[in-house]
Amino acid sequence: MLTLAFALLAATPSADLDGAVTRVVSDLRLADVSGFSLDEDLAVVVSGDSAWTTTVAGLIRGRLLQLGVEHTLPLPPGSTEAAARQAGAEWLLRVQVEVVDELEMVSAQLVRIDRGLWAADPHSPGPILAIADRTFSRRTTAPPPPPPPPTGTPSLAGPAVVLSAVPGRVLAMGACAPKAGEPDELVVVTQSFVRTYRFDKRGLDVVAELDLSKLPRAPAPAREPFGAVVCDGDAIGFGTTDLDRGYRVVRKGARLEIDADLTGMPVGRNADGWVLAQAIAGRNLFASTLTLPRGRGVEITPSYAMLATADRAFVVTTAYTLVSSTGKFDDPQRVGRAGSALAHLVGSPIFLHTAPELTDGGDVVSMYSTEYPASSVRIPSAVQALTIGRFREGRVDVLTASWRGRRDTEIRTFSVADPPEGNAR
Amino acid sequence: MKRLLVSLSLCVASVATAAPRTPYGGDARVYVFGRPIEVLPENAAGFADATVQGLVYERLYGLDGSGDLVPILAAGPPEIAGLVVSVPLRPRVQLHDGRVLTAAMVAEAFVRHATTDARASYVTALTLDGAGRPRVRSEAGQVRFQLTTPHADFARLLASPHAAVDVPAVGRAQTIGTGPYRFHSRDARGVYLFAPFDAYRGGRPFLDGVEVRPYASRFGAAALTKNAATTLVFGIPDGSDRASPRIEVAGSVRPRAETLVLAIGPSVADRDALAQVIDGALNRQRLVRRFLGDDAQATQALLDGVKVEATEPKAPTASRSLALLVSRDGRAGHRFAERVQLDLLRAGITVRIERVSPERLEARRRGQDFELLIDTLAPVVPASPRPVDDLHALWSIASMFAQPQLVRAADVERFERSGRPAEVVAALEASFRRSLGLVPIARRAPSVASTDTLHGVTSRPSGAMDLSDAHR
Repeated sequence: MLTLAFALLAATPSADLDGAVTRVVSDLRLADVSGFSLDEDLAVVVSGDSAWTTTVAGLIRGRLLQLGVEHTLPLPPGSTEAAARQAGAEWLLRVQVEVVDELEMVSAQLVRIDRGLWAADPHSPGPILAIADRTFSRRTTAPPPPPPPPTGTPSLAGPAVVLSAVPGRVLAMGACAPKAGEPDELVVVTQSFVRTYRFDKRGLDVVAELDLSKLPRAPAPAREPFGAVVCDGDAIGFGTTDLDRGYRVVRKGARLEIDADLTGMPVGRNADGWVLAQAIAGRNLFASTLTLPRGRGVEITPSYAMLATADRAFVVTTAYTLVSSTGKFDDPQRVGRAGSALAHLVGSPIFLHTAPELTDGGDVVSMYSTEYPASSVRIPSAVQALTIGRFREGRVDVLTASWRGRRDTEIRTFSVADPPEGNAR
Repeated sequence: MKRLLVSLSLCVASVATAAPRTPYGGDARVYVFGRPIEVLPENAAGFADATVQGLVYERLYGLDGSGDLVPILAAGPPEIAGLVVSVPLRPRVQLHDGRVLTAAMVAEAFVRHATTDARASYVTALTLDGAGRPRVRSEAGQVRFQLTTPHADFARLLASPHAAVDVPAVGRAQTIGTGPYRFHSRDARGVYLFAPFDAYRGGRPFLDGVEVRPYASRFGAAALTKNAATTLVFGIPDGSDRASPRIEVAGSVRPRAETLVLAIGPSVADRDALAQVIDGALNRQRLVRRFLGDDAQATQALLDGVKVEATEPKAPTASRSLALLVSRDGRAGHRFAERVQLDLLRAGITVRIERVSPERLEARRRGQDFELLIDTLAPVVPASPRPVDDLHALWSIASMFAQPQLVRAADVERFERSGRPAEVVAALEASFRRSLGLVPIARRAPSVASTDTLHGVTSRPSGAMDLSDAHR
């Protein structure tokens, strides 16, 4: 029996049109819908007598594309399941735009219309597997601005759409390719496990896992824990404030196996070795002492975030100042202000950072680059971890992790428009 | 309908503009009006005590925002086999002195609670051994409770602040716990200092300390709630200026309101008839309007949702003179007692007001040594739609009067088996009013105020404030 993923949520009257559509697509939780694949043919029918129907149809398709649903088939308003089936679609997204109590409401239903060869009545109405709705005020909503024309330079292209949820609190994320030339895998470090995920037709699919529950604990864990992930060829280095040391793990089938202990939390790696940092016991801060490759120590200011590549390093101080330096932490320069999550696209000059303060509980992911113009995307919740990678062919995706209490973490995604070519792996 | 107060402003404050990382440092200063602070879990007398104890001690279970049981020191849900409830203990939990908490320590704590003069209502649900001690045993990392009668929701009693686990400290009089803060010091004025427990498994709290001090000045209350150095004030006297934001609870399960009652002592002759006379004589609407403020509602029932037939005023059979005991520093204030005195005088009952210290009042209530008593009942049990929480609230009230046995095994059995638990609770509530000689007057929300310099404070469904995530 198919599981009914029911996501009918309370309406938010003040949500704007763009936000309402983004929330509707996020609330459908397509990656979690039983049997749904991102590469299946999805017919989209947007109906209603609202003046916004055409705009909504365009926005819906844009948000689906954001998630990786590339095979969408727009059908005329009012088209039936039979018409969608006739057009060769396997799924139908029925979207209604209507006026309810002075507000415009967008509601969506995902219907499985391909019942298969063995269904007794293949033309019977398909099961509705996901429902979502949102309202927006037509008085306060201006038509969304047209997308900026392609500039040929990379830029962050939002909005961020909910991709999935991970149990527990995500402390760090990374993008690490299992082998040179292969797409990146998403590495997720939580308080209880490290997992690698592959982007596939269903969204995120677990590839390998390491259980952290048996590892030695930090004598004074942080109330607000954090972690770090660094790729090391086909291995992965990680550490968290819950553990008393860092670890290097290698992929062994569906398992991640520890093959080396690290004396700190890895925040960078170059040909000579690891850049290791220590968390201050019980605090959500890195201590001032760093260990560079070949055991060289360096003193910097206590910091909220740190990231080192072969030739550059970034540090977010406790005053939320973003400082850039050489890969050996020399020649520090104040770049601007940033929050506590950093990411770097391997083989490119693209660095991402979050905002130094939250506004209405929301965060902003911004791109910093010496070669490209700045751009940013708003995330409706505080971002605890951030990564950027080439998870899918021809795309560069950004993933953000936002805690929902201690229960789970919401993973959102958006892409980089006009991403830089290839990679330097 | 008046809003039930208790907590949202703090929650709202915490989601406004803020830095991505929570800052460490700073202190919280907690003031408790009108009564000394009780730090032993089994003796918690209200929301303030439960808050203070929650800094240091943890329970086997807690309740989440939906009122569902969640393990804290337990490793999982309880296993119920007939009359035996087994609770697996979370492994490797560290005590404040570095030792590891064992099932034997937990069992010993429950036995110790039962043998003191405690308000822990779960005690009467347990069978006793030959020495009169409750049967709580430890075995293979589990704590086993032997019940007198099957009670499927027994573990909800273990979520009460009274069921927090404390362990005798080596070489110290004060017990220790496993919570986010540890005892630092107590001075002669009754001011407690609590320090963060660095090795707390949930992570060191953000604050560098919590200071809890009693205060007795009614006139100081308004100043305290405006003072930026103040962070939480419990028990603001009725009628005080409440300029500070009130704390409200987000979530479906709210703390239970306090019930203001007039209790008639067992020594008073013809107690039932007198209760009827008093019930009819009290002008509750006027008492509420003039003395208790916007947050209070007149009531004739101990529990919200229980219907009580309005009684016609009855003339007393003979005029009489009685002593009315009130707390010298009670939240309801001096004028309230005088207004009650006037209402009773009009019904032919002459009352002389006797003001005593909160400690003395507590002792006389528990010893049933009074004729009339104005009292506040504050069961630390959530006000949920579940009848079992009403049953446990009654149990908690009975324990306040040192009579937990008023909830008999037969009552629990009827509750479990009748199929109409709400009716059983309503009948029990009526019998409680008679047995304890209680005349409910008004219901009001627990009075807690905060200055806006403290963020991340949440209210537990029991009404206790959780300061483990609090920060400046």
